[in-house]
Amino acid sequence: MLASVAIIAAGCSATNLENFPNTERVIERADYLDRKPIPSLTDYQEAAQVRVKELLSQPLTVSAAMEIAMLNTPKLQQHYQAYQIWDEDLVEELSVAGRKETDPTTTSMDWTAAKIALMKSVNTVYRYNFPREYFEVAEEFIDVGEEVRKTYFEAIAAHQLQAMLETTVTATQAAAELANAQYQAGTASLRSQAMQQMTHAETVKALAEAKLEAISTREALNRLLVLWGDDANWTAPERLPDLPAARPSYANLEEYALERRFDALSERKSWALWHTSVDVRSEVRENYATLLTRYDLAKYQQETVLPLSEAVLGETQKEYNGMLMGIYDLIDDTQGQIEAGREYVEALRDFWIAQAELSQAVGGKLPE
Amino acid sequence: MNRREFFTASGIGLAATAGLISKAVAQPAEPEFFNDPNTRQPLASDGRSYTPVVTLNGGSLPWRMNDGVKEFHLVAEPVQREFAPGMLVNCWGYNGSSPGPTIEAVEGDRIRIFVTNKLPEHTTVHWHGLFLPSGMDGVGGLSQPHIPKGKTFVYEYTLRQSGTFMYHPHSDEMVQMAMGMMGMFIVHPRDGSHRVDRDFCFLLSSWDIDPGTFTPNTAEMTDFNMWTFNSRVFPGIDPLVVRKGDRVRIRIGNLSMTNHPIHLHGYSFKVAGTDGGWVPASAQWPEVTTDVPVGAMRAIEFVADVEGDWAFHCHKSHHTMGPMGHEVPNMIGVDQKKATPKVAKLLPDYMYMPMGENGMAEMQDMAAMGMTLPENTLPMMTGEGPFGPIEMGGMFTVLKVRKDIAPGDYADPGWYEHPEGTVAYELKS
Ligand SMILES: [Cu+2]
Repeated sequence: MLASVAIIAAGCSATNLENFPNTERVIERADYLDRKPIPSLTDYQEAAQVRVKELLSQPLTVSAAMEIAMLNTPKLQQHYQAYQIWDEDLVEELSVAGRKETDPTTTSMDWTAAKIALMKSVNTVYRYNFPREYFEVAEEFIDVGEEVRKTYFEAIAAHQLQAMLETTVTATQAAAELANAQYQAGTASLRSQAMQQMTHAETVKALAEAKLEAISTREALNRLLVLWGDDANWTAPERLPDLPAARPSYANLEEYALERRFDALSERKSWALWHTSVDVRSEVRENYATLLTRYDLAKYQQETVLPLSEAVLGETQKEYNGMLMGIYDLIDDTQGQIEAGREYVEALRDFWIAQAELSQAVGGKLPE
Repeated sequence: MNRREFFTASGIGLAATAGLISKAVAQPAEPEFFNDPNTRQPLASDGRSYTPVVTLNGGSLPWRMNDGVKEFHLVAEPVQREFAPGMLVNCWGYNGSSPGPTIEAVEGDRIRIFVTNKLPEHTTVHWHGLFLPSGMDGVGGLSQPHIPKGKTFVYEYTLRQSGTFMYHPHSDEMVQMAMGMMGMFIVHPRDGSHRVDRDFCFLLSSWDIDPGTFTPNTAEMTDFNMWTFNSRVFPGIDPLVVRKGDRVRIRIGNLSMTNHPIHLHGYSFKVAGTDGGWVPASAQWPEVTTDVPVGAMRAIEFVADVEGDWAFHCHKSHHTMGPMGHEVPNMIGVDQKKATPKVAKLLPDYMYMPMGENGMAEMQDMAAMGMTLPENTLPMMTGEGPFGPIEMGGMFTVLKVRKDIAPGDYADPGWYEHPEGTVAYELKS
């Protein structure tokens, strides 16, 4: 009992008002802070800010997101600083490479940035004599790249899925309003009215979750791209990039990956510490199989399931015309169609994520 | 020369061909087929005094005489039947048609009916209401072996009564009847009694054919959506065309799964015959609707002395409708204004219209506007009359009474031209 009283007393003394700084001391400190010079932006930072703003002026593509990440990620900037390439020339070089990326669905900016950094270091600093460190640096670029790609597609998909769910809410709201009108007209019971309201409530809740998911994935991307303030208000495309018409097909992907991951960044082909080639080969095979499966599923959803849901809805419309089915059936089947569309968006998102994972597995850039 | 002409020439003419048959029971004649749904002209009588029947949207089966025996050939087989333009049904029937052709004979006739089974399963034919030897009664397993597929059985007996009868399978009976296997069997009195000027007959049946499908669901017991006169629905049922002053008989057999109160506008009639035979005049009473129970026959009679277009239909209002949804929400009086724009937004490529708020009559207008229905599906209500949509379907047709119709002419005379001042009119304010 005595001990606890002592502790409380000690606590009190720590928050004793007499111990707080008086006004003069506060002004003194503020003066000191004011006089402390704010470090001016470096040439790199200025150039990078300009380029980032330029990139954010358009709906954000995956290539733009990646370029921003290559410019803004603190740990990558540390490498630029270490290699003494942390200057406006690097920003320019990256932006030249970025402008060459015209395909809005893919990017190899991480690979490009790693290459620029490491090649320059070979010519300038010679600090990294050991290939193992080379690869660790390259891996950092490519890891950032993979994260950015995946988060980007998750954010765009979440936004799109949320927008589609808003249509579902319109559907259940229409059904709920009809149930209200039916109750008022005396053709539905309180129970059936309440049941329709419950159905509507479920989609309202699902929409809240979908909106939060859109915000969370967007903020995850903001963190990866180090965006805040006005820069965080970027606009996103309304939709994920379309599924490529042709099924992806890469020959000798394992050899390609081994070459890229062992040789391309180094002259020293004898080194084999980093990964065993067995692991690399297996990873590549698995990621490639994942990519193909994701492609096939998205294609199946697009070419078979979506038309089926449309066929169902079309037939329901005909039955509604004939008073063979009711308005709630019609509304239900519009929801079925929206759900099939949402499943397509999810399948498409998973395809692009699988592509990001395969890119990482083969060292940052898929073969042409 | 086609078979039909050959055999329908007349019963007397055919007697001459009997000499070609060497044994009493030879092979059956080539069957006559009834593939189109038009009402045929009645057969010629066999020379005795009776008025051959007119089978609505069908006809009577020609016979041949063989050593004093009238021979008929029924072929049980899968058929396609048009219920009305726009709906074709995969049925089972006889001689190309559901219902099968009417068998028509005279009291005292010795008849031999060949039944060839071209169904995918066995069958039999039961002669509903006829007095015959027990072994000719057609109950598979009880009175005879089932007729295996591909085989022909012979039924032979003497007609001991006159009246209105039916035939149908008694072998996988639920399925075979739900698929449309049935026919009329008319036996005229030998003595020329009960003769009328026009004698019509048809069968009532019920069907479960889901919207967008072609084949009846034979497992259904109560929830039917198609109600037919001779496997036809309005406006596919031919009118009953009658000359003013004719004595008319309409024979109705019910092989559906429920009763049908059959109602005639403009007249009262008497039930002159039932499944059991002719009703004595002292036991008849005038009425305008007669309930035809399941498995029963009614022959109603009246003198058609008033011209006009008179509705003739089942009085269960659902039975004068095309297919309809029985599970649709009740929208009578429901204000759909608030939800309508939302639903329209959900279906941008579809001409969405809220329905049912002010009744269902708008349905026929929508059908007229070209709103598509599921394939092979008729509208719930349809039919254009001289004054607008008739809004009917199912068991509905028209008795057309005209003074200027020739005896034996059953052709549709068109809509009735009402004398001046005899049509209901709008009061002008
Ligand atoms: Cu009825």
